[in-house]
Amino acid sequence: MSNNNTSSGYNLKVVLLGEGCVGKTSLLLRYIEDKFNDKHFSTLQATFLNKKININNKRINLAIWDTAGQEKFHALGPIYYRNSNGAILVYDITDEDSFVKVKNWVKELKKMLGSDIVLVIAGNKIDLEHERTVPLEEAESYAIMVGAKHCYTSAKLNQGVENLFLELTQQMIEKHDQTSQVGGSRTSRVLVVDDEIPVQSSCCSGSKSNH
Amino acid sequence: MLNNWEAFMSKNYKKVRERCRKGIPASVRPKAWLYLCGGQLLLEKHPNEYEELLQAPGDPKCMDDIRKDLHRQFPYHEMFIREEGVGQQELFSVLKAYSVLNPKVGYFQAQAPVAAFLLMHMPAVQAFWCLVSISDKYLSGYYNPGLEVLQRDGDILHALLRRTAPAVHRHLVKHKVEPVLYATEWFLCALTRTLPWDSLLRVWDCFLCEGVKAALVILGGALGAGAARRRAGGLCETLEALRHPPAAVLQEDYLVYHMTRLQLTEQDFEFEHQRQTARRRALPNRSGS
Repeated sequence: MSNNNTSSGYNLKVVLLGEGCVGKTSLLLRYIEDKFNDKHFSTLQATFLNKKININNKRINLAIWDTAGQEKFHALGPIYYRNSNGAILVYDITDEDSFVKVKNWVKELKKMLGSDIVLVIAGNKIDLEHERTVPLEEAESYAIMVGAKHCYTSAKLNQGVENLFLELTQQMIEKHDQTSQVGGSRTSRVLVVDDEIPVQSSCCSGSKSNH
Repeated sequence: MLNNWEAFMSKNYKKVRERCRKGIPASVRPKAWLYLCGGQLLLEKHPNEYEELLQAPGDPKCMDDIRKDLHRQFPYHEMFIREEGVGQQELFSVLKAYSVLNPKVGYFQAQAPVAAFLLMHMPAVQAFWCLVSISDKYLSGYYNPGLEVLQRDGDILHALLRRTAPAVHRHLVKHKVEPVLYATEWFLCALTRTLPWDSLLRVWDCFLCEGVKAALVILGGALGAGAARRRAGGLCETLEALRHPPAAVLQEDYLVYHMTRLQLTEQDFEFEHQRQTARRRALPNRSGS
């Protein structure tokens, strides 16, 4: 049950945050299913997806939360980012307000989780480069200042998406390996992969008699 | 019945409720909804207000948020498929008018699917007053900052499930599936994103007559049963099962059957409401902001 996670694999939790309509759901859809759909629904209910990957022969299971962007949902934020190993803060390069929102999230995450969490900032919609309003230098220097990686992506054209998640995952692994070396006894945020056997009991369950 | 609505409703509520539970005939449904939710009353009281609200400039941030969402509601429905089409224009107008009328809420993303669903049934001005009534009375407080009311109702649902579907409740507790993780969308947009068309109509017949809790219980019981039956083994799997339940449990007859089978009384709701309100009040500030 509690074998070392470097040999068996990592369970890492990631949360996608950012203003509404910047492309959080689209980035995830591109990453998980390699699809893009411009006819989709606005996200109201945060959703949870798993992705299994291999990096350098390490088995990694990413549990990714996609959240609703509108400011009104802000209060639910902690439910999704608590215990996260990494956060992707998405903004739309054609929307300055969405970059301000990224800064707010960075502040909040730093305050609540300190440096335990790996941050990556993603400037999405680079297919609309000609409509860019968030200056390149500003975004990049801000990212350096707060110690976050900065990536450019286009979920639509499939640019930079794979790389975004790869960068994040590598950093999360690094951070995890560091912390587990430093404080061995400290309860780690990374859980050991433990594929639970589904309960097979055929005991009388109330639902069976419903029909 | 519709001509003398108020008198009929106050005298014969039980009869109305019974009719609603049986399903309102499609031919009178839009009109019945307008009366049931009180939209007609508001419309009569403020005959010109909708037009006036549309003339107002509107908060720029709200207008921006609304525009971003117009193409993201029922994107495959012919009414909303075209940008700049009548459907999207009307949707904008209705949402804008609400944001001007109630600047405290402004625009909440969950209102868009509700408004779009209403627009599929009735002219914009009627849809607007129904939206006002639904937002301010039926879903009262859901759109307030902090989403406290939403979280409380989630807890009520959870507590009621313990009684109505103990197996489901155990499953949810075991995998730490909190109501806010699966029921946010159900509550906020009154199931418009959750149910298949026919079931949605039937549930709304009940919802507009009996309030949000009716719809809630129907769904909670039915979906939960579906999830438990599948024996989804984990948080992710359970959420997935709740999000995409087996088609059978969303059939209209199954849902309505479930509702009539459940013996929950007003008192049960009231009791749970009080209990959860008190419990939340006693909590330290959970939101962290």
